[in-house]
Amino acid sequence: MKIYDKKKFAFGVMYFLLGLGLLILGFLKGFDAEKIILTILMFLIGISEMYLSTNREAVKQEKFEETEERNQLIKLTSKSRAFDLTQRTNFVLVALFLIIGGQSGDQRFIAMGVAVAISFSVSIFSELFSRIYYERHM
Amino acid sequence: MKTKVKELRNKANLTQQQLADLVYVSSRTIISIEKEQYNPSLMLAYRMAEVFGTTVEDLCCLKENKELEDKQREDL
Repeated sequence: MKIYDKKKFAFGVMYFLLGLGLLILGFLKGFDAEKIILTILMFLIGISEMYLSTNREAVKQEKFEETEERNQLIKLTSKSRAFDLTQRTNFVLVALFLIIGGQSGDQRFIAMGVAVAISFSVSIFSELFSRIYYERHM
Repeated sequence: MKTKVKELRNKANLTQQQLADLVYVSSRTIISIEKEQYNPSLMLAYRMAEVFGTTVEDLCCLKENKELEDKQREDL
């Protein structure tokens, strides 16, 4: 048996071990419906990932899908749109929390506003630094 | 962008899947190019031109597309 995609195989092993851990935990502390479903899912994902990593054709097809030029453009565009949407949502949330906090005087809203503002500023700075990087390297 | 991919593919009696296999892309990419929804990369355009025995300039109607782009620029 030859492994064609080591990363995929490692993921498979990780999921399999998680499933095994859940199974042992289940035997020690008892099973409930949620644990049973989770354990079965972990085993299934683990086994299918390990199987696919040893299947030459499946690995080849996956690599092809990953590197195909239109797929790459779709991935970039959708990630960029998602980032834009998240940034705008964060901005609205910051404004909303701060206004509600300011009006009601409830410190919890101000705290939530500050927390989202941190995430918003991280996104702004990461965009700025990425732009500077690609301005120099593209 | 307007291209002659569909016209030349039909002339060469190739299916979208066959052309896709020849130029190492998915058939969805060929469909998108033919629908003018996706502009092929330079390398993909060159590969397709090679399959059809033509030039990138002819395949991608570069003269026509350039004139169209110039007109749009003037209108700005």
